[in-house]
Amino acid sequence: MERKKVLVIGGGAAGMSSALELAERGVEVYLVEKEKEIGGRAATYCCKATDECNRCAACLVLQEKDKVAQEPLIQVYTSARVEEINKSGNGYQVKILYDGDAVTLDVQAVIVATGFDPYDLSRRSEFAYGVEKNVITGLELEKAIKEKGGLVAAFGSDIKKIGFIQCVGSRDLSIGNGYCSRVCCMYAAKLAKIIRNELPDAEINIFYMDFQSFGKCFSEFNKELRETDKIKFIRAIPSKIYGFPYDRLTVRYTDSLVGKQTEDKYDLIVLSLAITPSRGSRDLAERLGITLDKYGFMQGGAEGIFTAGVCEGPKDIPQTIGHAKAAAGQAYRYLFS
Amino acid sequence: MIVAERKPIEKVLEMIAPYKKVLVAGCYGCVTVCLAGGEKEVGILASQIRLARSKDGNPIEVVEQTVERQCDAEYLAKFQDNVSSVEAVVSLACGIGIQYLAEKSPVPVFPGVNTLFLGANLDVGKWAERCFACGDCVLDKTGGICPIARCSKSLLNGPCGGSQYGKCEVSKDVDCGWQLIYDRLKALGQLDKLKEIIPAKNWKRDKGPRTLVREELTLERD
Amino acid sequence: MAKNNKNIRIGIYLCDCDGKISKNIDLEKVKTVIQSEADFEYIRITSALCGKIEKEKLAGEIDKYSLNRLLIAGCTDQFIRRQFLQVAEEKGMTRYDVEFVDLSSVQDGSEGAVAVINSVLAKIQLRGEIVIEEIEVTPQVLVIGCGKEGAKAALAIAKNQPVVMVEGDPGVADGIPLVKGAPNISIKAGARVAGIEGFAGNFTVRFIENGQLVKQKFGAVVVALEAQPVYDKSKYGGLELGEHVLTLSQFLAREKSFSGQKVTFVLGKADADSLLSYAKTLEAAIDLKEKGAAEVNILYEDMKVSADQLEQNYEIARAKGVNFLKYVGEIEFYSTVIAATVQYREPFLTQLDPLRITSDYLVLAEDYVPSPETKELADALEIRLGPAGFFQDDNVHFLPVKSNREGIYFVGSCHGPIHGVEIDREVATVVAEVGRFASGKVKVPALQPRVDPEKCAVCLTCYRTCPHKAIEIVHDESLNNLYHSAARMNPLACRRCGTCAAECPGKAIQLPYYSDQEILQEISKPPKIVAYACENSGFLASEYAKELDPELQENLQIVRVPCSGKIDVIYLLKALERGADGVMLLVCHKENCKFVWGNERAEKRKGQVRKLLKDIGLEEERIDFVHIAANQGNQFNAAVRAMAERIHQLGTNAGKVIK
Ligand SMILES: Cc1cc2nc3c(=O)[nH]c(=O)nc-3n(C[C@H](O)[C@H](O)[C@H](O)COP(=O)(O)OP(=O)(O)OC[C@H]3O[C@@H](n4cnc5c(N)ncnc54)[C@H](O)[C@@H]3O)c2cc1C
Ligand code: SF4
Ligand code: SF4
Ligand code: SF4
Ligand code: SF4
Ligand code: SF4
Ligand code: SF4
Repeated sequence: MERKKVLVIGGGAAGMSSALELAERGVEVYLVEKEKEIGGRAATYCCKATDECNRCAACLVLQEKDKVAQEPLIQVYTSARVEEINKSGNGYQVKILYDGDAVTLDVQAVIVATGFDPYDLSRRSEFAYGVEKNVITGLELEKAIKEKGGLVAAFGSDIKKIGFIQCVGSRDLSIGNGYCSRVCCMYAAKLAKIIRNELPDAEINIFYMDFQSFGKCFSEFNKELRETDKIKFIRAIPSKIYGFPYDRLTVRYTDSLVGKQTEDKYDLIVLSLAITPSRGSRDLAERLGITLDKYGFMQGGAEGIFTAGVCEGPKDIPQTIGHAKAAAGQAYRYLFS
Repeated sequence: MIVAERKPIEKVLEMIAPYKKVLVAGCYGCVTVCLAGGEKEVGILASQIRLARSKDGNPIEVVEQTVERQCDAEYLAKFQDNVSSVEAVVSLACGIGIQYLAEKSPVPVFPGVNTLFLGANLDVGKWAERCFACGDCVLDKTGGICPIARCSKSLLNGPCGGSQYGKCEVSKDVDCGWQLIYDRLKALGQLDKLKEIIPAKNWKRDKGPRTLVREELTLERD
Repeated sequence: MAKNNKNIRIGIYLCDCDGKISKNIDLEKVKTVIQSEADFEYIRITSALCGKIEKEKLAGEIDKYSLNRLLIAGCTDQFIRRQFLQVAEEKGMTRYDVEFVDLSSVQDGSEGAVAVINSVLAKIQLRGEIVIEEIEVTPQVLVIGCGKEGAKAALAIAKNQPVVMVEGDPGVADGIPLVKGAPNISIKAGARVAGIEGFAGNFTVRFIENGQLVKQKFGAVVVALEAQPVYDKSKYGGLELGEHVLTLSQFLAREKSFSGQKVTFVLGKADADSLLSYAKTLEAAIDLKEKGAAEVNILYEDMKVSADQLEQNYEIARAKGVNFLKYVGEIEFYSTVIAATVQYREPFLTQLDPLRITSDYLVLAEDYVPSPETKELADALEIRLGPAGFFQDDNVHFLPVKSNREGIYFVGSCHGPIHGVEIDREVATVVAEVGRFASGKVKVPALQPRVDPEKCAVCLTCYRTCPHKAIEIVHDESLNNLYHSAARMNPLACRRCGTCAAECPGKAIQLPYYSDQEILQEISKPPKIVAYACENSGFLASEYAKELDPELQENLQIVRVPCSGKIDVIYLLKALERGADGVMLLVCHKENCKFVWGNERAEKRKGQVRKLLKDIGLEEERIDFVHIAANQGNQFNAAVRAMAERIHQLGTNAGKVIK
């Protein structure tokens, strides 16, 4: 019997998981990824274990990546792009551009797993992002620690005071982003924890609005973070960061738990940027008959089109994997009923 | 099941010090089950011996073999080839197997384990003594709990004065066997059994080492 | 090489990849050497096997020589490899029958090529046959717990396969009305799960129903025993509940209208681990406003909104005029016969006196604790509990819905209250998981470990150490040992960690692709350091590390294992015996083992081997144990450098037997 075939667009945690799930059930998968490698965002994250795993789940993504490489039923096209998708018979005919060549694939279903892009800061100058080199994003911190092995290796030994700024672009009605990105309180807390592990004397502060629960033992984790790890929580979102004329970063904010305006000096500022719909998702959605919610996340598509992972809304990695499995299960049922 | 434990390596090395080629002989019976002398332990001991002797600049050849049971002659026969090519044997079977192999072996056979007791396997890595093989079982009188194996003093009519809060005087980690018997009999509603004095034991050793011959089963071979 | 197994008929193809390979390797020479020593049916050199005609020829040769294994040596192109696989599959082989050897990266030219090909040939022999089994399974799914969460799961699953719901106390089960009359769902009320036999796809569940033992077959089990709200008055200054002071669950259960009333909710004093009380409160507040409540206040410390629809509800509630009042520190409570008052401090205006709010109803969030049946059910199903007595290990590998056993899943607050808010998503995942059994048949490659009955002493060690309860002891007269019994691993339940194989005292267990012989073959001539690396962590870290510092791995042999629980004591000793100066165990971080306790078993074995070495006067430091994750390439390199340095200090391993 000819195997059923499914196109998965996007090779992040969601795309890989749904591809693996389908392959395990005997379905052939074409996995199309626009970047040079599959893995998605989370493949660039660092491990946040201290004396035990702190349950960030980043390592799961690399494990999936390895499994995809070994799975003969998954055909991976990296540095590739979907050019055209047209309904044809019971399925879709897809034209992709791969390695400079146009390749035509016939599939019976499509899973869209195009993930997210971080909030675009180019319109916001108050955080001096792109101007001051030590104002970075969470994604950049994750990647730097992964690649260099630690904060000092990545940013030098002069870093004595570190600030995380939460909810940048999230939960912000003024820009139409009335949703919580769900993962940034979690990763900021865990990153703070490994930085504390590396730098016992550094000052580490988290600027926040409302600190979100995560994981099975949140209260314990939270208590340890505050009491043992001495991470300070400041209930404020800074209004301005500037480097000039000082040698360090100056952060201006109004601490809403104290009620007065303050300026303070930092060596490294990490911005927890909102998870926003990936560029191009509007276009893709249009072509596939996928409806978008008011923030631009995908909400299920036409017949035989399924969505998986963060392209449908913010999720952490385990939730993404769960969602991808569900999407694969739906696609499978669609194919065989 | 017979429960045994690996002998300390220095003892084993001492026994085989004069030899250049030995057999480490395992048993797939009780000692496999109690993780002391199966094929895996044979491999570990053999490897350890090789490493130790190489380190001392006195290399040794170690052959490994494991048979179903060392307490049966037919299985021991499988060792024949190896036994005749080595200078000595370290057996990881229980004391029974070691002796039986020694009877059949032209070269000396040394114990690689200490045979400890007859016991139950409570969980992975945990064993507890349950029977002393006394030859005259009294479990009917003691609520199914053996006074000889479970009472530190093997008292037949306990407890002694050292029983406190359910524990034996030898250690607070040891249950008093007679307390266990009492509790069990109480639960069974048979406390009156305690009033019966169990007579001093016939250890069945009056005719020397014990043997068991069941005429109805024996083969008349000659 | 001697003829091993006459049922294995190997075809060897040496592909030049259009002349690329023969630049470094003399394929003719390779062919001649292999021909002289290896065991195979057919061998041929081809300039490019991937051509259309060549592939047809390949198909013809498979028939002509009755080949049932292929070894294709050449390039690494995954597209091309898939084409060969397709040819093989058309000829009735499986992916496990086709081996690829990458000749483009072989070192030492022709000799190196011969060596890798020979080692792969040996592995093919060792592995024997891996069949794809088609197993008959039971589509029916058991859902345990008839609360709302259980009802959601049952309704969703019942769209595809039959569901039985079981509930010990039907009187309080608020999900029963939701499923009453639904097609494909039946309810066992007043029954209790007493035990389980069998494996995923074919469980037999024992129930105690009306005092009788009843057995029924299920393909999968979904646990949905809801967490229970408890009011802990110490969190509210000892405040007693009463007419005007209600818990959140009491409030939600009230049928009465609160129109014209003032209601104040207090969040943040309880339910610190979850978002459940926030989700419920937001919904309730919106509903109150819609139904004409005079005033709705929500006192909170942190507004928890990190789940579906919560921030949106927060926004709606604000738009509807719900007052969100942030507090810091302690709250004081006063209750009278007609109203209840809270007094709190406003964080923005700390200089002010404490504020007071008096309302008709004060609604207090509760904590969530596991259902009292949790422990008993965990024992009955042989599944593990995690933090605070809820189901499921606190280990990312199990999230969102997996248990330590295949075929048994969790949904909702039974595995922690924080999962209660994600119920719909978890249900969707579980529907997909149990959906595997819906057709009544599952295909699975028989990759589970195999037991040699002649060596099995039925000691139960494997049975007890399998973290996934995937082993049974079977009795069959054909089993050739004293007991006519042996351990058997179930292909649908086994997750292939190999822990059992490393624990077996009889060396009776071999895991395909990771048999002792295959692993020990890799260290036949070890370099200075041998690193046994779990493929979920250390092995992936080593690949990343290689990109960072390729030279470091020159004196390092990495041996991939499926889980650190597979690292046998003997592997460590053999590496030293055969000449390594140091041996590393690279294992997942604590609480991160994909297979529950593989890393703990490995740590024990490290301890055991260190003692074995110490007892014979060898340096125990030659054994190193490193917790690592897949993304820690730098840490991998640091650990290897440290090991190299330590070996340098210690000098060569005096115990090595092969010098
Ligand atoms: C700073 C930061 C830290 C985080 N830390 C954690 C953490 O510690 N733990 C955790 O659980 N979660 C964390 N997350 C969330 C995590 O990143 C997501 O859950 C996860 O990446 C979602 O996977 P995905 O596959 O849905 O999306 P992505 O990872 O974004 O993958 C999408 C993939 O699709 C590709 N793609 C996009 N469009 C196209 C197209 N048109 N054609 C082809 N390919 C396309 C992209 O290149 C990408 O490879 C973090 C998020 C951020 C922003
Ligand atoms: S889950 Fe995160 S913290 Fe835990 S081992 Fe994996 S990468 Fe490290
Ligand atoms: S997770 Fe935390 S930082 Fe991220 S948007 Fe939500 S509240 Fe803000
Ligand atoms: S030799 Fe000892 S250990 Fe082996 S089976 Fe016989 S009694 Fe048991
Ligand atoms: S009385 Fe005790 S020692 Fe004697 S046979 Fe019975 S159990 Fe064994
Ligand atoms: S551990 Fe080995 S000997 Fe023991 S039951 Fe399992 S397979 Fe048999
Ligand atoms: S390989 Fe792992 S999961 Fe499979 S039977 Fe053995 S211990 Fe269990």
